[in-house]
Amino acid sequence: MIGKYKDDGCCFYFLFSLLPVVIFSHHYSHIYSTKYRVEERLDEYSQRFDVVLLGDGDLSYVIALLNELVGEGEGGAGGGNGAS
Amino acid sequence: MEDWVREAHELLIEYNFRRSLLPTAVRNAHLAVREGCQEIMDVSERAAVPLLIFSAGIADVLEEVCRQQLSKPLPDTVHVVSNRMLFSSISSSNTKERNQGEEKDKEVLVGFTEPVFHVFNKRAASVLDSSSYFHQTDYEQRRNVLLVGDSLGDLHMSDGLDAKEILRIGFLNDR
Repeated sequence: MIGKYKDDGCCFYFLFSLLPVVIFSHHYSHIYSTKYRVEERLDEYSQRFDVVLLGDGDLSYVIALLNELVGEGEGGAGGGNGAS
Repeated sequence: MEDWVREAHELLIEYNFRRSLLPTAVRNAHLAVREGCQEIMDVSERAAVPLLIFSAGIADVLEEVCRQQLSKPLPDTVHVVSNRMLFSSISSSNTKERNQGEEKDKEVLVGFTEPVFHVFNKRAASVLDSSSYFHQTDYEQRRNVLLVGDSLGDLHMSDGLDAKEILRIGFLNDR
């Protein structure tokens, strides 16, 4: 799929949910951990998302992918805005 | 869901929420941007990739979080799709004599922009016609989408865009 992005000259949108903001609320952590367990949702997430990132990690994977798509990383398409 | 969001908005209006309270409220809310967020904004700006941030919360809050925690202002390539506060100034005849801080202190919340966004309708289709953001330069010709979310509802964020390929990345956490 990344190849198709590159063929199109990286002419794409980047959509983000509120995800960049992490709420550090210890008050609710016990509720979340019992109500929404990763194991219970992994199957459905794997079917619906192309890539599932586990853990409350940083955005390094997304940044590396984005850099590759816009041509700033290894094997990038070259020339970020191909539509221009 | 829409009723629930509207009622929450009404409460803020009822209690005369002032714009000047926003920075302090955000600072005291223990919010933090995920590591790498600034770098994504930078790539978006450098490569002229339109970056849409969807939130069923409040755009003004999200932007204030970014203002406080990112090292640079949001670039023009970034667009926040969310509920936006509408403020009204309580004016007096001595407007010229007031400084900017006092002006902000007089701005009281009177409403929110339409449509109301909630977890089940935060999608591009909701703003495609109303927002000039989508009509600038080459945005309308873009056919590929890189979608990042952490809930199944986020999969619909691209609804309304004329997308040929959508690469969906999901964060799955215990929460």
